[in-house]
Amino acid sequence: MIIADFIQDLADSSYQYKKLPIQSFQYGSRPENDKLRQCLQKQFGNRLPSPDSDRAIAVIPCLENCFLRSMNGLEAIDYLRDSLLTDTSIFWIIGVGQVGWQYLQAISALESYSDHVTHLEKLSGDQLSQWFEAVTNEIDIGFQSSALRSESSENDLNWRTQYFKFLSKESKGVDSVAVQLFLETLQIREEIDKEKENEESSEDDQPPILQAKLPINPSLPSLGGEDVYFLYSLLLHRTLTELQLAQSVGLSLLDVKDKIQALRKLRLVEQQDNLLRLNPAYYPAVYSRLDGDNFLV
Amino acid sequence: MGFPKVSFYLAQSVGDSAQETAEQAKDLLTEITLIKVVEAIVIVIVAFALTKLLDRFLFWISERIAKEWRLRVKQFVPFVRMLVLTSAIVLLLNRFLNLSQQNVLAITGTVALALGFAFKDYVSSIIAGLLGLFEAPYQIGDRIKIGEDYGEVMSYGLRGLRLRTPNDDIVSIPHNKIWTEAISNANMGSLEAQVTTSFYLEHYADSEQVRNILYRVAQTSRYTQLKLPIAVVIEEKIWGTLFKLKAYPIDARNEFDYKTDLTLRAKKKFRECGFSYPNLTAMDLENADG
Repeated sequence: MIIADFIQDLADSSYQYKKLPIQSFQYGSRPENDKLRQCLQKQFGNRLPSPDSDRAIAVIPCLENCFLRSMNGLEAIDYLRDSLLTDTSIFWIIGVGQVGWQYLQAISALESYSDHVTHLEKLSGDQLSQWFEAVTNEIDIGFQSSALRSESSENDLNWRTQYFKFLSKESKGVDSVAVQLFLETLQIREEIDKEKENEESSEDDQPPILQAKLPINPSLPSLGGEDVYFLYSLLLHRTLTELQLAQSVGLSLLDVKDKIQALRKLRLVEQQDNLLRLNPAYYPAVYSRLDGDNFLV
Repeated sequence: MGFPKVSFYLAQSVGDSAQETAEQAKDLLTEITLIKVVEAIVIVIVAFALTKLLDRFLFWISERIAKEWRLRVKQFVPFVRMLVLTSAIVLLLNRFLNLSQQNVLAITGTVALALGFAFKDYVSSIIAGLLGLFEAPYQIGDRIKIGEDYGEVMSYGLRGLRLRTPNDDIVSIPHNKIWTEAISNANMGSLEAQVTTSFYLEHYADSEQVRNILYRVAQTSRYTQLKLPIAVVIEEKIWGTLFKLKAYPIDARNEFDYKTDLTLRAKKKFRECGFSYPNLTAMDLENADG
């Protein structure tokens, strides 16, 4: 919202602006440990000013992809801090999660190199409702439920509004958590005997095929002593391969495999294309646990 | 001859005194009935069971809640024990003794004298334990060193404490050590305790590079508490250079795992960088110690 306002202000003003070249960090996932610095250097280090401008905008959408908490995994961050951020001809826009930012702040004092640090606002119920409109308009989803009625204090009940209000509260306004909770609350209508169905109700009276339950944050299962270090590492880096996770926690790949298997069984960790990530539905619970366990989050 | 007369008076005086004490004791004790004895046994059993139950419950709950509350809950255990014990003693005394003001004064001196001789150390430990509850030189969960023993305080009893050493031995130490021994407490009720890991390298090793490596080793350990400072202290010795990495683990309980993790990863990096360790003969070591 802040960036949109800023661009609007620029458009409204009477000054003349010229377009600056924008360079974005191209890696969707984390490069190998010894290539992290090289990748940054390749993309931003040898930047030549464009013919019509001596300034540029550089964007790193996910700073977590530029480091790994290991002996050699922070060299790219050192390089970014010491060589790139000091270049005043580049306007840097860097996106990073809260946990990653806290960690990098503790070891590299990145905040000192940033003019402005802004936190994304929490998504409200209305914003979530608007965001999910494309899906909810396409598929007939029922939001009416007795559980939602008992949770709501308002008499004039709009089921959809109440559902997303509740979803916003449970997801703490975090987009990925909201999506995961939304998906987990969907239930499909059971097929019943068609003849019986025709007898009992007309087409219009039929309930929707999909029904959304009341979204509730899952509580954290009982965890072993070392499990929290794995969860912290996944929260810190967003996504990791098994090998990267092993490097990040300083254990052997074999030890990590066993632990990860146990965490996957508990549905705390998901795996997609060799990449491990924390199940977003558990973000709030894991965050709160790590905070209570004295981690820097 | 005046002797027999004096002896007679003395004997009579001692006799009177004994009779008086016997009468006082008679006044002090209430009638002992079978019901009272049964009640007393029940009180003792209930107090014992309650202490064990509360101990177990508080320890169980402290291991399941957020770590920041773990030590606070555990530190509550001695107070709960003391409360149960005091209540049981008061109930027992109330059943068997007439605790009037006169009686209390009468027995105080006698009891104090008896305890002073027979249970001097025991009473000293109990008093030290009671004072320790409020002065708190150590609490449950703290990592302390008393004399030669170092470890985590596992329990705080009436007479003494129990330490779990790094070798997993349990050492019982009476509380009265606080009168005479210096007590070194590494964390004083907080979750973190500073861990110092020493590294020994040859004089030729680039000290600045080693220092940077050690900082990075601590910054990338899963156990390190990054809210607290990391420091590297360098000391020159005759045989080489001593590097001390001082950092805090997130949980003091992981002290030894933390030290191992730091050592393993630092040595791996030293190997990659080609640093060598001091090569000492037994004579060098003797000279260095001297």
